[in-house]
Amino acid sequence: MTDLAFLGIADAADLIRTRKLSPVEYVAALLDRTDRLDSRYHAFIHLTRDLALAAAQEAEKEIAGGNWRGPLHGIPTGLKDIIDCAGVPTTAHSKVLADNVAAEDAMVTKRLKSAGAIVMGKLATHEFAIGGPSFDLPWPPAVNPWGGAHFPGGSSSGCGVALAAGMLPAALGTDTGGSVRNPASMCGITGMKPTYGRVSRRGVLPLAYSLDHVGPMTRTVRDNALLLQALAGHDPDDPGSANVPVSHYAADLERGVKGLKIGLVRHFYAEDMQAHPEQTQAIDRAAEALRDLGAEVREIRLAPLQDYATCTRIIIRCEAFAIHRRWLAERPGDYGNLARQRILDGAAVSAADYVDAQRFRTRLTRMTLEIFAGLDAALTASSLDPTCRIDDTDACARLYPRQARQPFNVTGQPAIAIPAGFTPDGLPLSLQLIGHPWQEAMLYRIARAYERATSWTERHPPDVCPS
Amino acid sequence: MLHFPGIARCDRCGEEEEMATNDDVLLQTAATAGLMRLDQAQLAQLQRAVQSARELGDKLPKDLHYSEEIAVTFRLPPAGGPPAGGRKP
Repeated sequence: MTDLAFLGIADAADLIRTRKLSPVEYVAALLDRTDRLDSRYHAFIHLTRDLALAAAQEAEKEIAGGNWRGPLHGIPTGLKDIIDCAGVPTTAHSKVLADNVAAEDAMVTKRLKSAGAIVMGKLATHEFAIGGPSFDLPWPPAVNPWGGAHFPGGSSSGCGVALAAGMLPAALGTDTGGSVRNPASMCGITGMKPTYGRVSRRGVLPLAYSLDHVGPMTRTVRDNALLLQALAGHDPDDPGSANVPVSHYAADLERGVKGLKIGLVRHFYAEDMQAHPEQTQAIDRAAEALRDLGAEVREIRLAPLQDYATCTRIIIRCEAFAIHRRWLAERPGDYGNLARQRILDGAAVSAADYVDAQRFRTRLTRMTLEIFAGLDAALTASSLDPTCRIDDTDACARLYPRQARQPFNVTGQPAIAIPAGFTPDGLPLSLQLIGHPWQEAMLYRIARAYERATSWTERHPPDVCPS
Repeated sequence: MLHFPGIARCDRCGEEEEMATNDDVLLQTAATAGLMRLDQAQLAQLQRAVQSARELGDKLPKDLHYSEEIAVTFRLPPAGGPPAGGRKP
């Protein structure tokens, strides 16, 4: 019997299209699995059980009638709980919005639904996508199934956990300073931050307007390409949305990397910050694997990691404070301690520093793109360490800034985090690939070649297997 | 050793005055930011934010006061197109 828990989008789509798998059976199986597992992992804040089953019945009817809409038809998905789904609460994992029910679908939710995907629920996040893990909120933080009691990264923490635990094959997260790629790295799954402006943010609670991205999270590269295909496109109602043609993301997946030029940004994790030795070795081994597959991998130097971090932190603080200041003025006690601190941080930054951070961003982006000229993509770390226990507050706080994701929120380039092995303790390791703006297809091609040459995505957390 | 209780009291007064001044500055910062309902623990968080903001600002390049970088803060919609952003009525 097919293991529905770890069935990917591509395989499920084939079974659904040929009517060997009923969407109703699929959704019911994942709901049942979530009921059994989620009291341990807290991936979901809200299960939309009835809506999901009704949508699955509708999908089944349409497909039986010969109207298969495409690879997402009948596929269960989850939304980070800052993404609106009409009639369903959007809480941002916060007491501040505990009673907030979305009036309309976010643009990405609309796109998912029109592709036939089924929304199975809303997923845990760090409060307002900024502070976590927190234990002083109305819902507990999501827990990583790898290791059993570990930090899943964030802020799209529930997305990473639901995928790693086999509760969902697809989820939508958001990434302002790395929040799709962080849980992808910590949970051993695949997370793409597309080019800034590629995917609409309309109907998504903002964290920092000029850095926010919505991104697809899946277990495999192919699934990620299929999910982005449904999400990408211009939205005139998002001022950051770009009117740029959408590529066919799965078209070149199996073309391999022979002859491609890949820059290795080693100074991020070997000089600017010292990554955990197992993480360093994993990326160095990945560079070797890509060379063995025929790519030309050579070391390049970008600006120091700290420069991008300074720029990102100033912008996030100021824009987040601007968004939250009314709620913070009226209900400061309704925020968790960590999110309140991070949002208050923006109250003290000078306007001149914010403007200069935006100008510094322009400079960093220009410098980075100049170095990318002549390359097809770059390879570097995502997280600099494997994850730690979620109840070790100090260790979680130390992990938070030890990452190489923020540079590509600054520059707006697409960046994907994929599994790159495991520690001897069985915790996931990861790598990050970065592309030219609008070249997500190239990242999928390289990521798929590496994925095919390794077996990391075939492993699942032992505590949640067998399904 | 001679002991001058009056001077000792004055020293403490100085510290208290300084603390009072710091508290005033913090309350003023909170008020400027529109944050009138912060309790003591939350004001302590704001105090950490002030310190952290200063440290972060110091890390910005020093040649940004006048350089070729122009911050993109506003962009007109394409001619003939609808204004970007905002829900339609």
